[in-house]
Amino acid sequence: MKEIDALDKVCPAPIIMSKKALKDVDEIEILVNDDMAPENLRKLAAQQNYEYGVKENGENEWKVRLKRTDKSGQPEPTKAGFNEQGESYIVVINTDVMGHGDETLGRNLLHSFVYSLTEQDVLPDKIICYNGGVKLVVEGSDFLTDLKPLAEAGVDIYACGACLDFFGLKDKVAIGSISNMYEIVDMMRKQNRIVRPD
Amino acid sequence: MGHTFGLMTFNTTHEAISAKDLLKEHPEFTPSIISTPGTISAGCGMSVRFDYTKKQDILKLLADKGFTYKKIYIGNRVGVKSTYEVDQ
Repeated sequence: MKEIDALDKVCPAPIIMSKKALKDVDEIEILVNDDMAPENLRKLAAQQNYEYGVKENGENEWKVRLKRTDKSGQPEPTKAGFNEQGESYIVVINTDVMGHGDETLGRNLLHSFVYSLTEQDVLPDKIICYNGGVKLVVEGSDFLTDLKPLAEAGVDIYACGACLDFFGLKDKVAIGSISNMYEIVDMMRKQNRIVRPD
Repeated sequence: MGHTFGLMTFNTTHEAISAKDLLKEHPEFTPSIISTPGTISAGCGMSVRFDYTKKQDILKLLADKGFTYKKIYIGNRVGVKSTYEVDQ
């Protein structure tokens, strides 16, 4: 049994700390004082089939106990047939800037986003680029430095063919493969988590 | 062992972007902008990653152009994780 001090940590930090700890041990007690934390940890327990218990530990402070069971790690499929607890995800990039407000900042933020992807514990299964996002995958793009290691690590990169054609970039693809809307929709509908740096 | 690189932090996001744009004129410096890692700063700043073996040339260029930076770190990347030590 491991004790975790998550006092003054706001959600989702207690969730992340719990998930991490339960990879190594079967049972944890986590001390929290974010009033959202007990309920969020209860949801985590329900999702992951952990035993859950909570007791007050003073004013606005709780001790939550989570324990792995035989069923833990075997989440029930949802009605759509997806495994909601799986860590797999795809990334959709639909522009060459991130966010709205300033284009220079947005472009640099997107660089930072793609680099940060390379440092994630779990890499995306796929990166799908469309509209302005296709500019990332063509010759001369300074995003290639970070996209290449992702591709080498097994991330499949796709760029929308119609979009490449629109921008006159169809012959300039430097990484990944050209896709079409049927395939893109198919990939997106089969994935239960899509990360999009809008 | 892992891959070693340099990381330069700045006082403002504007300074980081301007410095990266200047260094971009020299592709051999392999500059790229990244979010300042949480292990270095709790804030949400931006930093410039660069080829550490080119540090002296980079510092000279920045000094010649009147750029200032906050700190330099030596980064070491093993797998998907990078660790940092203060360089100067």
